[in-house]
Amino acid sequence: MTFEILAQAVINGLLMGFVFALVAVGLSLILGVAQIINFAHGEFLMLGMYTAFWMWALFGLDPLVSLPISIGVLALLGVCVYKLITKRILDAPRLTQIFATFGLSIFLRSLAQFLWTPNSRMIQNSWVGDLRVALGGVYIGAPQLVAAAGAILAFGVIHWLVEKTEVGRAMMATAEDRDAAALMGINTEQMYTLAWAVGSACVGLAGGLLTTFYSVEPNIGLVFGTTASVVIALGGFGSIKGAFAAGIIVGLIQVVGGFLIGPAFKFAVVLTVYLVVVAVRPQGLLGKY
Amino acid sequence: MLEVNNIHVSYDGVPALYGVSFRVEEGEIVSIVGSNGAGKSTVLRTVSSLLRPTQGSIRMNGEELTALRPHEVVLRGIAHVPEGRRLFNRQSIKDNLTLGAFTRKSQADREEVLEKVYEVFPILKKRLGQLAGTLSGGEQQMLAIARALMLKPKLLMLDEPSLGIAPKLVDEIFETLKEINEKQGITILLVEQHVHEALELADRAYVLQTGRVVTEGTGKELLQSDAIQKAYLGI
Repeated sequence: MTFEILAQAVINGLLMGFVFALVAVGLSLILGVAQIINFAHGEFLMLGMYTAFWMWALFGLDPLVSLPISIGVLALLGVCVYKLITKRILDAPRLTQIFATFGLSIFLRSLAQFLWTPNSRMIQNSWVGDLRVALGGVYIGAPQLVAAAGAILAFGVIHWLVEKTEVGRAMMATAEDRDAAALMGINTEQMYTLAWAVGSACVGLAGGLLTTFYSVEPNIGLVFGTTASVVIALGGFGSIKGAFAAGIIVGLIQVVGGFLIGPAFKFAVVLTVYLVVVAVRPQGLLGKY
Repeated sequence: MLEVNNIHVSYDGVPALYGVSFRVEEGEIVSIVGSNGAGKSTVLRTVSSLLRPTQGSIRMNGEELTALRPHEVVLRGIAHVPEGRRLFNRQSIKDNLTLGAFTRKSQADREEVLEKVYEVFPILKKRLGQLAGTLSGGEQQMLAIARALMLKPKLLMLDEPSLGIAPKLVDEIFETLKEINEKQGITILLVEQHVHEALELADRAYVLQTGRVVTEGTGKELLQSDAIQKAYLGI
């Protein structure tokens, strides 16, 4: 019996880990290429979730159907935030950069509260909402399974984009040395815009997938944003593969730690592991710096 | 070919160039020499649009460059080998070279340029898979020049190619520059602290001192001038 509960916890943790991983990959891409940590990344996710929610509430679209819309809206948001805010502070002091996106996160959270009330909302009767797969004594929820599959697929696409295409290599060259890349004829401005678009699209996708089993409220970004920061520190700043691997690990630690010690402590366990890694291996698990 | 007219440049309000003018004619090798901090790198960075002049104009074959972005300057046929080489150290030699070819659309065109570059630097062809960061200083400089040649430039600008390189290799690199100029017809603008070598190589040269051009002439003239000999050559 206990074994089955543990197995259930591992499965749940693993599946949630893929979603954390997707959120973190987006954050890592923006950090790696555009050299700015987006403290509003969690709030971007919140907006992705609200996009899916309103598509369902207003037009009756299932979150899986409205995925392209959530992805598109968030990609556009990323581009706007880059062009209007972060582009202007690329060469500004670190503190300015931190406060710009930190301020944006507070603004977006307050805006969501103002527009849509602080109430928590849940999509009812989504296609995959009530389905689950039995595996021995363990149940796997269909929404979580779909979300994990979506995350893996998205990671595959981003990995291919970065490692195998010319655009990806130009993007990595820009990440390594902006001026040198520009001298090679690479339009670095375009690369920054692309990183913001793709990085933000990740949370559009993650947000859409999450709404099938997670309720949305204005503060939801705090949990996911903090977790994503922990994940990319754990995986190594700027490493996309590292972020993905660390996301899965964090998902597992959170659920299994919560199971062994008590659910109230699940974030404490994650943050403890993070502190240990930062002390022992500050460059993260797969870090390049 | 390149006409720089009275450019003024500052870093955060601190002036670095006070009205620098010079020109580079097609097929020439032109050197800008001067001591550390004279503003030599600033000149090249401004031509490449990495810095914006507060005044003055920079024209390439009559076209004004100062309003362009750096990658657009590259498309006008100006390649810049920056100070300290600035290779993509986490990428292989091959990837560093082909990155420089993104401006080429056709695959056949790229192969052709690549073959030409291997002719100049055969050593690179043997080690295509090696990471750029693991090369020696001299090899890195060769790769940096090769990467710039991949852009098929009309004008090649080099910032201190001798920096951190064994003296024997410095001669070799200067020989290579001469060969590139003669065989491929690429115009060269060289910025150097090794004044003697740079003047020997150059058709014409400019001496830069604290942000101003103080002397100009043919390489030979400057080599023999008393002022240069006293100030830079220690004779």
